[in-house]
Amino acid sequence: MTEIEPGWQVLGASTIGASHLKQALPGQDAFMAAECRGGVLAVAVADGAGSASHAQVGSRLAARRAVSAVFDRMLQPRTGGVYAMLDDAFAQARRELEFEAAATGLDLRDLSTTLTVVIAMPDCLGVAQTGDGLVVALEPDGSLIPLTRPQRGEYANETHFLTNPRGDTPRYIHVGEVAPGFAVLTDGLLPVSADLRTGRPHAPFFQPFFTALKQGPATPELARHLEQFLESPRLRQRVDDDLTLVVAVQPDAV
Amino acid sequence: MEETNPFAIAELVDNPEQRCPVVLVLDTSRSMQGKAIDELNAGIRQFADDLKADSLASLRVEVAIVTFGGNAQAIDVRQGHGAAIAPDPAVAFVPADTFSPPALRADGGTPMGDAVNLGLDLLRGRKAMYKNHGIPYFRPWLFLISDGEPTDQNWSAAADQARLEESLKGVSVFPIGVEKADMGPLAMFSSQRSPAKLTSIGEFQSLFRWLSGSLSAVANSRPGETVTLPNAGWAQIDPS
Repeated sequence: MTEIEPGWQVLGASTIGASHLKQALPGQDAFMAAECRGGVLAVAVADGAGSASHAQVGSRLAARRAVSAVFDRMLQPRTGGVYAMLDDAFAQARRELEFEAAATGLDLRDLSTTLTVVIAMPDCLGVAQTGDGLVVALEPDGSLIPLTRPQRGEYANETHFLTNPRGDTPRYIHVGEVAPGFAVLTDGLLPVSADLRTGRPHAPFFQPFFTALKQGPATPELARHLEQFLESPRLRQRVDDDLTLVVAVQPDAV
Repeated sequence: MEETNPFAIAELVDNPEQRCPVVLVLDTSRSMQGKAIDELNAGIRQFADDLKADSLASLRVEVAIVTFGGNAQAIDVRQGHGAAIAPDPAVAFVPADTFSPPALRADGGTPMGDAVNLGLDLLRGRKAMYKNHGIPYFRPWLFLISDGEPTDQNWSAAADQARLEESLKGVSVFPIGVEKADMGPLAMFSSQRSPAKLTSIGEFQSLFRWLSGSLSAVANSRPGETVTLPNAGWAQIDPS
């Protein structure tokens, strides 16, 4: 196979938190990633609200629709630029949930979910987020920088959702230079992967994932390893929420 | 399998657990003497045992006790002697896993307002400590239990303050009246819920069982979650 465009290697997994297993609740995290035309990579991660009755539906629909919005845009002759694409991904994800609510008779709040979208263009990296996810960029020199800050209220159980009333869905947007890699995670992993005081990502947490993808392709075996890591007792002892981690590396750019 | 997993070496950050502070503001006035104070002490002991049995709650729930019998004071909950201590949020709270239930004695008047002010002060101070140290926390709880009526002059100012802080989402206040308690003043301490009534002092055990169960539910909740508290089978909601 002759590969001309530099490809992305993407690894991701979502696992159900111990607290949810205990209460026999479904996993409420979801992620979706797709390589789109023009070597553009779209990743979406969503964390359904624990208080919403159909959060697991909301998170899956939102993540899927956000990525398909980017995918569709890249098939068009004009993409409108990364800001417009991020906007469109959020608007379509919300519309998907509004449609689901209308079609099933649910309240929009029953589908409450956070949403984080990353679009890696050939010339820039765009990130948008509503809620308490985290996006971390791998810099060319190997260091890590946070691209979002988890949105949290005063209390540990407060954040913002894509499904909040219009005008009450603050969205964090960052568009910056192309990065050789990035990671997206839900808040369940925050306590073990970042300094909660400063918001700085903890490099020794992320390094093994970036290293693995620099050294080889994202095989199904590697994805299993990621899942096993997220389900390992060592991690389960420390965090009891649903956990999602998506890691993407552009090996040629590292 | 763990040894061959390339991700097993990912280093986990040691961040502090999220906290759920609770202050028990307890009537230890003369009217509580005898069986009532014994039942209250037994209820607190059971509360401690129940919280310790829940591994997450034992780390996340932090307890302080303020009593009002003669005067309002913070009570030591580390040694278990029930001695008064300085009203310092750094020492008044302990994580539930090291909570040592005090043996409370009953005597004196009922300065409920002073006690609630002290409880609110402690919670405010504790929240400031969490903020300074980057520790995530839940909305604090103030549990107010009395079998009488306030005897201090300024209790209604304290009640106003409690309602104000509650409306600003700074605290959740749960007023509880025991037996012949005057429910009118108790009702003034919360804008969110009517005071609940314990029909007999024998219900203290059920009350504290409910409290530990509710705090466990909060401590085990995840971000974004609205916690549904267990039904309070012990309580009669005062219709007035």
